[in-house]
Amino acid sequence: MSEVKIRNEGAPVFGDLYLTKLMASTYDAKHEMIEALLAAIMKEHPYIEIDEALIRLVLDEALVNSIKHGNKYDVSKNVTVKFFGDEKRWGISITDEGEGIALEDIIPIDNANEEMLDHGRGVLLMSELMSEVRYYDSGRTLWMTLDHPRKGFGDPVPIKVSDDIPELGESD
Amino acid sequence: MATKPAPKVNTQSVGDVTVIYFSQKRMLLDESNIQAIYDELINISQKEYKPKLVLDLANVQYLSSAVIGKLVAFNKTLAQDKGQIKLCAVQAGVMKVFKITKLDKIFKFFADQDSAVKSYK
Repeated sequence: MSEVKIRNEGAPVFGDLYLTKLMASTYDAKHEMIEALLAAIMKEHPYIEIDEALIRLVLDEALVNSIKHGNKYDVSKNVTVKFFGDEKRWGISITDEGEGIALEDIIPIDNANEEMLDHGRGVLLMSELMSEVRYYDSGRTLWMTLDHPRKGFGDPVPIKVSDDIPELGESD
Repeated sequence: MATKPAPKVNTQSVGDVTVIYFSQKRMLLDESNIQAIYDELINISQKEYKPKLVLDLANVQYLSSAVIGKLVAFNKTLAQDKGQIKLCAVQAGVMKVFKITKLDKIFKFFADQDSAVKSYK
């Protein structure tokens, strides 16, 4: 499980930026976004025995938080989603247009229990299933990555590495 | 894209136990449909005195943290009425969610409907 921190700067993109997409703050838009992201993940980082349900779950938790806690269901506000990756890992950043969050809003990770709030459980799930979860832009951007081989998502197949070294984007 | 219809919640009585299940395959339980399901669970539980419930999750592909929150709330409401809910046929990915959130200690799990129903005897 990765430690979750909130940083003030903008979120980095590493490797190739495969997809940038705006999402309205509605659950219908969320369903469409999950399908688009799943298709892109399968295309750019294909695996055998992929556990699609767990990827759906992680995406669902992240997008629901941006709609519910970030934009507070304000349909005039959007969510910007980026999907990127290189030969070692892939990542997703999800940026809402809300006021940001404080660390105490998201952290009760060591105290998982019956009384935990839903979004606390959501962050806990993302932290357990992904390799790294961070917040940027004072909490407006959720940034998460999954290393190869993926933990919790079934057995990976060998990663195809291109002969050409890809130009790296901004990296942290 | 049209809003998803609320998933149909089915029930079956086995003696004094009510089995609740979803006939739709590969159900995704999330923020968008959990309130309708929660209302239906409350409705079912209020029909019984000290309700004995089994929730069959065989067709549930995943459930989100919001759904878990509602299940915890429902479990508490049931306990106040001296009722119980037991879960069965939970898929591996869904079980992982219960374990990560440490709620596998709160609920009782069974392999199938039959063993869950028998556990009430």
